Amino acid sequence: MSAAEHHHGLPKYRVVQYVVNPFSDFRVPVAVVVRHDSGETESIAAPHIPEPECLGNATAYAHIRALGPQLARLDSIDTLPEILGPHFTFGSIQHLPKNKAWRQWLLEVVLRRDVTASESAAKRAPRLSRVSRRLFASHGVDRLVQDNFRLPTPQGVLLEPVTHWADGGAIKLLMEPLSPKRTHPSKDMREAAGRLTIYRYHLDDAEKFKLVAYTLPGLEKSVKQDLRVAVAGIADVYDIADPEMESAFIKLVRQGSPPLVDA
Amino acid sequence: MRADSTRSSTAWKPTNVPAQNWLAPPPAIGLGCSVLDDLIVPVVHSRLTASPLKLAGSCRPEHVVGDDGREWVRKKHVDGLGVQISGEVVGALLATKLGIPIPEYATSERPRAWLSRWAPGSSPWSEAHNTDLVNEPDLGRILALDAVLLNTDRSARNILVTIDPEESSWRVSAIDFGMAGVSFPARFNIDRDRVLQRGPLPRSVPAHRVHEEAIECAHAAADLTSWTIKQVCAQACALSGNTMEATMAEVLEHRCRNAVRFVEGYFRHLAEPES
Repeated sequence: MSAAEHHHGLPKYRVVQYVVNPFSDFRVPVAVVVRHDSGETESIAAPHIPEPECLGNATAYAHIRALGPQLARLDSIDTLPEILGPHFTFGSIQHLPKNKAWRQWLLEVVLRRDVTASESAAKRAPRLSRVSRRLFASHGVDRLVQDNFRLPTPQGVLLEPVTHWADGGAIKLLMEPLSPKRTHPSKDMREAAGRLTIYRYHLDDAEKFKLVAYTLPGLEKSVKQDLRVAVAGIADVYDIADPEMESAFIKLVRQGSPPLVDA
Repeated sequence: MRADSTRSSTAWKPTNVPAQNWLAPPPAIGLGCSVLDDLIVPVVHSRLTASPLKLAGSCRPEHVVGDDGREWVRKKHVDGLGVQISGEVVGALLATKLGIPIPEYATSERPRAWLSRWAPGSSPWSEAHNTDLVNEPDLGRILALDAVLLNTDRSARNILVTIDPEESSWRVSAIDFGMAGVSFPARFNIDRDRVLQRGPLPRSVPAHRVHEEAIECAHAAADLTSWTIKQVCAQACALSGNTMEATMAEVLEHRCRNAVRFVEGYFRHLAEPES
C-alpha cells in the first residue's frame, strides 16, 4: 500500500511552533491546526506552555501567552496570519493517526511535548557521542576526547553542551560530529551548527578555543554542504570520508590534547 | 566589538513605560553629550551571522547576530535596499530627534547593510492592539513623521508591537522608512506639497485618539533647525551614495516647516470613512 493510499481519508494537521532561539532552533509547540476532508479547519491551542524557566526566556513566555487567543482562531493549514510575527512557524503537514481519538491524542501527545517533535526519534537513534567514539577508538585517541563541554553564560545559565572536547591546555578543541546512522542528520546538523554558533559568541577568549564539526562516512552530500554553509566562519569542517581529512582531524585531536599520563 | 556609538540606551525612559534594551536611545540632551551624537548612524564592525529564522519583507531581511551577542534585522544593499537606505537614515535620525520609538539602528560595511535591532517578543500590528498599548501617544508621533517624510509603507507589518514580559503589556514602535518619499529626492521634490494618503495603514489604528500627539510632534518637526535637517540629509546621502543631497535637504526642510499642515491633512484622510 502506498503512503498516499495509507493516509487516504485521514485529516491532516500541522503543528504551530514558537521559535524560542533561532540559532539553536529551539522551538516549542503552541497550537495545532487540523484540516478535515471536508476542507474545514480547526485550531487547538496548547493547554500548557512551558514556564519561563524552561524556555530560558521570559519574553518568549509572555509573547506566547499574549497571543494565545489568536492561536485558538487559526483557520488555515497553509499559512499563518502575519500578525503572529516571525517567531511563529508551521511544522510539516502530517496525517492524524488511524483509530485514535485524535483530539485527545493531539492534546496529550503532540502538544504536551515541551521540545521539538523529533526528540523521541532522536532518543531511539544511537547517541551521537557514542557513534563517533568508534572513530576515536579506532585511532587510539579515545581517551583524549571527553563528552559534553558546557559553558556558563555571564548570566549563569549553562548552555547546551558541545558533544566532544579535547583539552590541549593552551587550546581547547570543541567538536560536533554528524553521523549517517542518526534518524535526522539534517536536524542534527542544524542543532550542531546552532550550538557551535552560540559557543562562538559566548566564548570570552575565542583564541583559546578551536571549534570543529566533523562528518562521519556515509553522510549525504547535501547535509555536508549545508553544514559548511551553516558554520562558515565559525568552525572548521572535516569530512572523515576523505582519508586526508580524517588524518588531519586525528592529528588535530592529538595536538589539541595533552599527552596521556601513562604515554 | 560594539557599535561606535557613545550613546547610552538606558539613559532615557519614555513616559510611564520601562525602557527596553532594543529601543533606540533618546535624543542626546544635556552636559557631556554632543549635538552631533544623535545625528550619526553607528557602524557595527563585528562579524554578523544569519540565523535560519524567516522574515517577511521585499528587501529579503535577515535575522543576524553579532560577535557581541546583539541581534539585528539586516537589510543588505545587494538584496534590494539600495537607495532606500536614505529613507531609513532620515527616518531613524528624525525619529530619534523627535522622541519617536524605533529600534536601535546601525549600518555595517561588509556587506553594506542597514541594521535595525531585533526586538524579541514582537509581532506586527493587529486589531487586538487597538486598546492595549502602553505608549499609544507614540502612535500619533509615528504617523506625524510618516506625513512629513511621505512614507507610504506604514502597513501592519511596519508597526511593531512588542511584549514587555514584566508587565505583559504591549508597546508600539516604528520600523522601515525605506519606502518614504525622501528616499527618492527627485520624486520627493515633485511631491513637495503632497499630503499623505491612508495607503496600507490598518483601519484599526486609532488615529482619532492620537491626533493631539501627532500635532505636537509636527510642531517639534517644524522647529528643527536647518542645520539639523542638512546634517540628517548629509548622513543619508553619504551612506546611500545618493547625489541629490541639496534637493533632499531643501524639500525636507520645506515639509518640516509645514509639518502641521501636512499632518492635519493626513489625519483628515485617516478620518474619512471606508469607501
